[in-house]
Amino acid sequence: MTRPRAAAKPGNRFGLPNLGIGIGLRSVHYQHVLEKQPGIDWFEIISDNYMQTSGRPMAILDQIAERYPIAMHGVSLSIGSTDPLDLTYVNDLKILSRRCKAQWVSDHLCWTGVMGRNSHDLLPMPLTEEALEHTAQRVKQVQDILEMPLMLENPSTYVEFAASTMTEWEFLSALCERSGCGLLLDVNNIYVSSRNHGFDPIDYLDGVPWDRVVQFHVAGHTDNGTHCVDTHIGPVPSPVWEILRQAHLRSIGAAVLLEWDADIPEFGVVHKDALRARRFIAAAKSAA
Amino acid sequence: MSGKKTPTASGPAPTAGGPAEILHFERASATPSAEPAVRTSRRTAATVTKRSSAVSRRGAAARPAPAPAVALAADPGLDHLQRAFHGIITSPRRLTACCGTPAHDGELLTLSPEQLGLFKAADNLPVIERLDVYHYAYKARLIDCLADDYPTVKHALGAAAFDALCAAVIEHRPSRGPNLNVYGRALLDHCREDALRLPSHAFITELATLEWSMTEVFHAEAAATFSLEQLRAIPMEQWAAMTFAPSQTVRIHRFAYPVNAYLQAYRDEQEPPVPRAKASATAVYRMGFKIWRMDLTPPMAVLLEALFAGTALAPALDAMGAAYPDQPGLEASVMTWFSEWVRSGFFALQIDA
Repeated sequence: MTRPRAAAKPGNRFGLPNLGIGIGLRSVHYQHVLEKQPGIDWFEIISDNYMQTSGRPMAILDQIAERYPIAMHGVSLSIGSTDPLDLTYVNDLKILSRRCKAQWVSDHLCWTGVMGRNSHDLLPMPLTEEALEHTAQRVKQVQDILEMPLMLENPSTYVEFAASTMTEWEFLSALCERSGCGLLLDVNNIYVSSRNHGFDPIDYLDGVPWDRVVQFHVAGHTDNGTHCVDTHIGPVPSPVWEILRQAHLRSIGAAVLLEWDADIPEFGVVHKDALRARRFIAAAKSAA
Repeated sequence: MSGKKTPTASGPAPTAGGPAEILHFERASATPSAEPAVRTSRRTAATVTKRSSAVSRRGAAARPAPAPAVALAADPGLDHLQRAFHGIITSPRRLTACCGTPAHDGELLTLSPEQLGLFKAADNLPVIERLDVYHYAYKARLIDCLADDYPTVKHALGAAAFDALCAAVIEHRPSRGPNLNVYGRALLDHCREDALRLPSHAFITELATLEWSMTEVFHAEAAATFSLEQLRAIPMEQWAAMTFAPSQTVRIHRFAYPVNAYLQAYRDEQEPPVPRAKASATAVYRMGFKIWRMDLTPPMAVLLEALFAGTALAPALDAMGAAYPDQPGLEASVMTWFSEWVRSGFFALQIDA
């Protein structure tokens, strides 16, 4: 990760705002956010936690959405599955996006189940032409319903299919081109997958269509030596910040969001770690 | 745990405490593989033996060589790959890449070279261990979800029996929807159909019924409810023919066991034994965003059940009187009961007079 970078490119092609630095909204922080109204740029919600419920989470989201910009991030769209697209789910996403005035809606380049069964996991895609075309058609269908571009995130993966004929970044670039979708670039996932599959994160960054990137994710992971697991635990480690810095050499104007999902500390600790992004963004800007 | 309301004349004091206070993790999250990491770290020392016997037989020090990839004649296609992958990671059996071990065949899913050949081999981690990350996460996530919905059932059964119950639920009733908020229903359905012989099965099923009600009420849509002022404004002559619609945020249960008392004892950090059969009735309801449980006397339960079934007040009172002829004067208490039930939001604002 030491190669010189080309000059940064401004903004994204969708005209979506750079929301600044946010954190993932988690239920353990509800009370703090409502009572203290901390000075944070924005929140990302896990869409699925506010679907098929009409209780406390929705009421709290309504209050938070009144005060902060919200982006929706889902885990169950299953955009790459060969099962029929769940149109009820997509319509529910649309209803939720309007209710919380979501800046954008994202999910993952993955599938979660097949044959009517749901694994509730982000399963890896075979990176083939067939999968690319299949996914692109479904992205278009989702965008038509949502009436907005869909943002797709690169997942952490632990296995690759022998049938794959392209890299993940080639797949994502082609998917953006064919479907018109945008990207949520998770730099922790780039690191995790690079460790698991043995590619250079810089090659990944060099292959990304930067005008499609509207958001970054940063997070922690667990390093098991032989491989890494995307656990969203602990402070963001240095190699992930370095990839974020490298990413900002290529793209300015994308929002940054910290995900912390295991052993979640108090709000201030999470927020402080998120704000460390400023240093790496500034370093990228000064180097550009 | 939250406090108790002031006891009222209508019956035992209702008790607060529901799923909102016991959610231990974000139901849906983008960390699908959080658990395998924990598992891996926990098994670093003694651990490898817990993995597939094929691996353990080689010993902890010797990492198994990557399985040889089998060249495929052609791309098997997206649908084939997804079905094959899904079948592997959702298997109730442990994964192994090795043939043999006939003594354990029932516990192992031995992947063929053709199956392993669907995936790229790499030096840093064998394919079987890569697949195991997903295989483990699938079951762990659903067990976490069920444990979150049924903490008292887990306590009553013990961790090992609860995990066995969850494994059976996951195998026979896999999740078929996108949202984990509703998956917990599968455990209750499984108990009710007696698909697994559990110790204290009847009690466990009733306990699961109570806990699932709390989750249902937590997620239910709150609607306008009938107020005390509206109740008092109704002319007496209209009462006999009135019907009352139940609120979406209330459930009434009659049990053969004192399950609410057991649940409360567990929440009070006691170590309650599985109780003997003793009839009980409990209302589970939500006020604001807090879940409450109210024990009901038998006549109360009969009256509420009749009303919730759409019976008009007069015949519902008749049914109660007929069921408890040895308790004269019950009707004199009805106004007090109603006041408490209305205050607690039991009735939706839909009245036929």
